[in-house]
Amino acid sequence: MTDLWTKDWRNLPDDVILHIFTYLNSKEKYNAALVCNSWQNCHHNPLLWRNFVFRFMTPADDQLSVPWYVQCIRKHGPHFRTVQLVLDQAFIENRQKGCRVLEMLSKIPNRRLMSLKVIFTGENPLFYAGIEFVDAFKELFGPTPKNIDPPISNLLRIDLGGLPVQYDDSVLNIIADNLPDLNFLNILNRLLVCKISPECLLNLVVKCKKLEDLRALHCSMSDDILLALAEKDRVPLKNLAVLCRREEKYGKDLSSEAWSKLANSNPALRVTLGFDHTCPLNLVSVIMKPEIPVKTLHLETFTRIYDEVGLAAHYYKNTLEKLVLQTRNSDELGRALVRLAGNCKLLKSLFVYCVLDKEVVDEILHVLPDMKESESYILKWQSEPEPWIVGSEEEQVWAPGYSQEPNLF
Amino acid sequence: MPQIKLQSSDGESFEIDLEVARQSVTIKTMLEDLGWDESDDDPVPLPNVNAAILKKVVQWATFHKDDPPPPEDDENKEKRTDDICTWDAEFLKVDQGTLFELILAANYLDIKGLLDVTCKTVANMIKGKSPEEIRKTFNIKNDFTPAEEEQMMSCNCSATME
Repeated sequence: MTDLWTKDWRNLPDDVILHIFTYLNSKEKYNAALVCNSWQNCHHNPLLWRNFVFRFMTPADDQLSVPWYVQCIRKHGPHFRTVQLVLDQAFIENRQKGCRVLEMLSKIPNRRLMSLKVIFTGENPLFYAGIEFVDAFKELFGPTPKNIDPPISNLLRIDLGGLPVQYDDSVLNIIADNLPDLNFLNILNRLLVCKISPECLLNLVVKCKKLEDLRALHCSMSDDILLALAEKDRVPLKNLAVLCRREEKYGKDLSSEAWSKLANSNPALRVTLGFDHTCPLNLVSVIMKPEIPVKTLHLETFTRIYDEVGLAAHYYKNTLEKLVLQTRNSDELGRALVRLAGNCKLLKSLFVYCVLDKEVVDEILHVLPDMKESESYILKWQSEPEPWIVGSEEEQVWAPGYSQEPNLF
Repeated sequence: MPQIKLQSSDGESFEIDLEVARQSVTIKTMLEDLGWDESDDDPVPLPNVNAAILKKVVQWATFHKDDPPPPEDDENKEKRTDDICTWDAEFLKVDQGTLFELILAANYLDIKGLLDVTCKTVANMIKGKSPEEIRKTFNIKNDFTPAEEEQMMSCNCSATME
């Protein structure tokens, strides 16, 4: 009789049930909670609800009249600290669910939400601009409606980099006016048209004085923004990621003076600088400046690019830790890479997506034994079936992909 | 290698390497509190673990004695359950009663590695199942009243939020 009692799974100690629950995703946890009373009680433990991932990948997900995610937000929403929303945008049902989640989040009384990340996967539907998401963001980032208890703490981290939605100045202005403690902002998405103006970003930077990590397109930046970030009355900026694209053709470059002021007032600042295939080639070496403390450099132009590699070896020898190259091979490229490997003392990762000469690969690996050891490189001297993967490339700064095991920032 | 004697709830004694035994935080603390030294011949009593389970636990701890300490839990990460090593997977091909008791023993003895891998195994048995299927798998009695069940499904309870 006692044996029957002891081996009843309902009678596991609460901390063990909680431990098991930590291995389940949101929906699995929800199902497990409907098994029996003791499991249900554990399910209400606030610790389980601090980090929540909504994942809508297949359109037909629910048979319940009130879907599981709606029930979860109603019951546990006030405990959420970190929310990640991942959805396959190809299906309208998923987009509707995602919007519903954001709308519900903005109406949670005593909200404790501190961190939000939204990632769209799958094919971007034609002519889809995601206006309904822009509206949902305006509500979520905006002032609390009168009939709802105000948040206990405000959003500190907003990551919209994986979201191909045309958010514009209006969203940024709402963030600037309502989230003064903002610490992390990623608005670097891969949408064709950038609607975020430097004036608007400047307004945000001036108002959000605790910003430590900012990721945006180069064309949304300006000297005034760099100078505002260099001001003494704010939390020092630690990370800045800027991507240069076709807009550079018409835009104004950032000046050496502004970069230099920013770098001097924020000695710990490290910059991720990127160029994609749409950026005019002649501007790459102009935008790259020795004053920028570049830690990560992406030269993904797909054209022959080697002088710029040489510049990086010269300019960023004290700061560069990672270089990603999409280009074609040449003797000049080989020499520039060998020089870079020898010059940049901190270099840890080198990803070169073209076939190099064997001597060049051997030489680089000889000069950088630690990189060879940690396998954080792609250096090929023979064509191999794609994708080329050696070791693993860490977090993508732009267009973060969807992974089975999403890292919450 | 110093040895130590452990005594199960049903009175059986096990003599094992001290290093193996010290993977259990409970035993480690007990020995420190008792001021145990190598000349001690008295067995350490483990009143919550029977001989059959203690034998399994010792087997697991012996195999894993050279493992690096398990990493601290990062609550920001969704945890994996597909990384159970082959040896552990074989080791845990046991009936549910044994699995249940192993979890309780790992919890009582405070052996994080064993608790992690047994809980992962249970999590894998839960994944992808409906509440009713989970009840069947673990032979759990549905102890909700019809009223509670009704309430859960309709969720009228907290409709104030919208």
